[in-house]
Amino acid sequence: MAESVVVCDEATLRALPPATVAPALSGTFSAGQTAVTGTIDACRVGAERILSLSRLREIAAADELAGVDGAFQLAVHEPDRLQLARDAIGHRTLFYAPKSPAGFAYASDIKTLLNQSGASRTLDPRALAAYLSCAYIPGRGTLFRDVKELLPGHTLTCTRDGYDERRFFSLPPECDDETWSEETEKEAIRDLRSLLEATIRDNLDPEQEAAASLSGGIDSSIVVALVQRALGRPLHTLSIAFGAEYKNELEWSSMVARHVGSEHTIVHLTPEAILASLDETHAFLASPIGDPLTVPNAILFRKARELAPYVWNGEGGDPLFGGPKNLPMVLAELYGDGENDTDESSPRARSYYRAHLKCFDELSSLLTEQALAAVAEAPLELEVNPYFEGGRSFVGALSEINVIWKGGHHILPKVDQLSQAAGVRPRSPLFTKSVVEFASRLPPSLKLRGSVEKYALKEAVRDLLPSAIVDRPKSGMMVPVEGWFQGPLLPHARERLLGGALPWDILRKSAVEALVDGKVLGLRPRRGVKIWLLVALESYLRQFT
Amino acid sequence: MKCIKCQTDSKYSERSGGTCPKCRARFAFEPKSGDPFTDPAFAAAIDRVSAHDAVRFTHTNLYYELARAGRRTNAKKVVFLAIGFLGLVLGTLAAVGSGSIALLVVALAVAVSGIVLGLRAKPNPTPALTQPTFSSLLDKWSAAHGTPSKLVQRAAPASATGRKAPLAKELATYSFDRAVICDRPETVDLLLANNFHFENNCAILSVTGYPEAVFGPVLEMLRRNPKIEVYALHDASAEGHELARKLATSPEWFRGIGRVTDVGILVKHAARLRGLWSASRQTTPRAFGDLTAEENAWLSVYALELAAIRPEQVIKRLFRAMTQPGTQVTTDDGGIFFVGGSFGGSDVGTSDGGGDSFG
Repeated sequence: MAESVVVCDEATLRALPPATVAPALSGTFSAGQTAVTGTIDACRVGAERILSLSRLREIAAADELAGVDGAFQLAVHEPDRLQLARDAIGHRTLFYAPKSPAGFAYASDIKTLLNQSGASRTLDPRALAAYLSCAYIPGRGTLFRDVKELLPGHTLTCTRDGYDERRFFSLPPECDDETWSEETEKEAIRDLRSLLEATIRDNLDPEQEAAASLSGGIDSSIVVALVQRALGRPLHTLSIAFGAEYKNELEWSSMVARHVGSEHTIVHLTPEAILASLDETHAFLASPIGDPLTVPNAILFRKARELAPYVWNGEGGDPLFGGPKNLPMVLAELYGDGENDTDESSPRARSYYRAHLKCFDELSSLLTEQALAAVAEAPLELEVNPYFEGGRSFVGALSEINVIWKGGHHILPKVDQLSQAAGVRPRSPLFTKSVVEFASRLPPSLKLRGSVEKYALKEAVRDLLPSAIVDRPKSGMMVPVEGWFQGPLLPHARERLLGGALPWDILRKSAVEALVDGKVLGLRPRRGVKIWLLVALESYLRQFT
Repeated sequence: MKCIKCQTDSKYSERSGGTCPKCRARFAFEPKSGDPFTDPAFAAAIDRVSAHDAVRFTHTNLYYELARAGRRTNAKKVVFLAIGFLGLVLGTLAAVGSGSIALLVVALAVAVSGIVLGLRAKPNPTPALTQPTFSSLLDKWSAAHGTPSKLVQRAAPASATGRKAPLAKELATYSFDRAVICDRPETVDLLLANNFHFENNCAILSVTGYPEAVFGPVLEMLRRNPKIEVYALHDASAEGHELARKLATSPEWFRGIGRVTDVGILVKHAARLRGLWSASRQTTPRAFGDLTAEENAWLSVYALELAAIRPEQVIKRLFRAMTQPGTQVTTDDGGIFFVGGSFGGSDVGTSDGGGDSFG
């Protein structure tokens, strides 16, 4: 195993392979047109690999899309109708504008859709409130009032009479803890290991070099260990750090790299490199994502392209197998949430938004009165409540909402869009349809066991990794946004937020000024996270100005 | 007195009927009628205890904040200093007028004694403000200006005190990595109201069995984690001094399980908060082997409630304790617990903004 350290500043960034926008899928409904367009990546149905759009169309025509594992977006134009389809769990995106000047229009990203359809660019305050609360926009709504997102696992059929959406994939029901014995539990853990190994085998090209991102957390470590074993030779692993002055996870990622024997590269990202990639990265995203790791992820993909055509990652372990954010929700369930007044409705939904630790509790100060009135017409909480009423256990319901919301609107599209832009293909073996189905069936006790999160996943790979990695508490990959926005990036943030593309008919400028000026009160103001959220939004909106 | 609504300063004769002559807003207090605070002073206390309306606080927190204001205006100190300065001025004038050196010496002696005694005068050990007076002041304030927005109005959130449905069996199987065990239910309420449990992944209970509706199940959940980190948060009192040891050694709590850290107020912390002390609740004074004779003597007479510390400081201290290891203490009966750092010091309450997913 070898370990190298690369400092990635602006100059290094310029020397990396350039990122390019993937060709967009777009069109409009017009009678008489026949065509099949779309994209596929790593698609299978049963043991069969799907190699062409025409085969995917056959499967769609037979109403068997629910059996397809992999990433796809599909548009089938027939003389009297248009059918759109998006993969089961949301790797690839599709957006549509039902009443644009060009008629019913669709595209794989919003910018293409607006440019080609002439749809209105009026922003939707409710979607913006959702973004400020979650750092992504869940559900059908998008930042633009007249643009909708086709949900993962859905088809949309458009005819002269209108359009109709239909769900073709649902998460299977959860097993009851009562029906599980010690033996069935051991069997499930063995089955999970077999499933992960098979998923990696099916997606691995042994002739090609392989790279993997490695944070040192359990999820990426599992993937690295399994891929290295399947590959039979060292793979390239990449970790990120942000300079010696900030906390990092390098101790853990290097431990894993040494343990499996990978060719390990540590990429030190400077604040200047982050700044230089900011607008480019957000322009590659179909919808805004305010997670501070988005830009580091994008740079890592570009760096990985020098090493291998495929980049493996550990995305999905948290939402599928009962990762962090579940315990705070359990505590809120036990004790109540101190921020919820006793007479407020939807306490679970409010706690769920609050658990994102973004700006849910600041909406009343950040949004204008007009925007708040628009949000009040259809409160955000209403979208969360059904998940808690669907018959799953509490932890099962949290898993379901995390898979559908965060998986399909944040994690998977982000990985897909940023890796495509960098010219590499993403492989997320913990977040495939078959693994989602497996995890959905697991009883809650195999996700959260006592205070141990992701119990089944950890037990399935215990022999592959040092116990220090398997049993270490979750710490999360930290991006030093607090330090950046108290120091080197603050002037830039001020300029961007107060003089950039933020919509002042929806956002209250005085509140943004107070945030930038450090006049944010509270025990843990999390100012850096909030500034990043707005910087990412401004960066995304820039491309539309 | 200034109106807290429009900032207009008015004389007593101008605010007949207890209202501001300009904006007609009602005053809560009238110092001329014997109220010990003005409206602006009471508002300032609320602002301080709530860290500028950012932190929730209990009735007792506000009581001590007002008592702290009284402590600053220490009557003994004022009287002695006044005697000293008056002695100096009047004595000098009299001596100059009469030409008497003896008078001048006496005047200077009175002045120096007054000033020295004034500077060295300690406040009374306990607050002059009584609880009934405070309650009546708060009622007056609330009637004029509304209840302070960050005042903890209720006991522990509804689901913990009055669950409509029994605790789901599923929830009872989980556990947590951390717990704060308090000596008073009121501290539990304070932490829950500030969402400390939610933001820090941390269960909270009182040693007295509060909140009743979840106490048993939560304690069972905590005892299920062999690596549980327990933080004992308490008054500087005989009972508080024993809390960490009790948690670390009692089979009903965490004997042989996890690690207990004492993050409460230690007796040695109490000296600088003289004036906010309360009477000891000990009926039979005990001598603790790990305390000095002076500390044991203090404990036999006094206590210092945790509520005398501003909530912001208490919560930040907990943040710190959860990120910094304490010092190990071995008790006489073989128990081991840890003592966290002292109150004050740098804040660790900043987040470094984790990303959601990577790798």
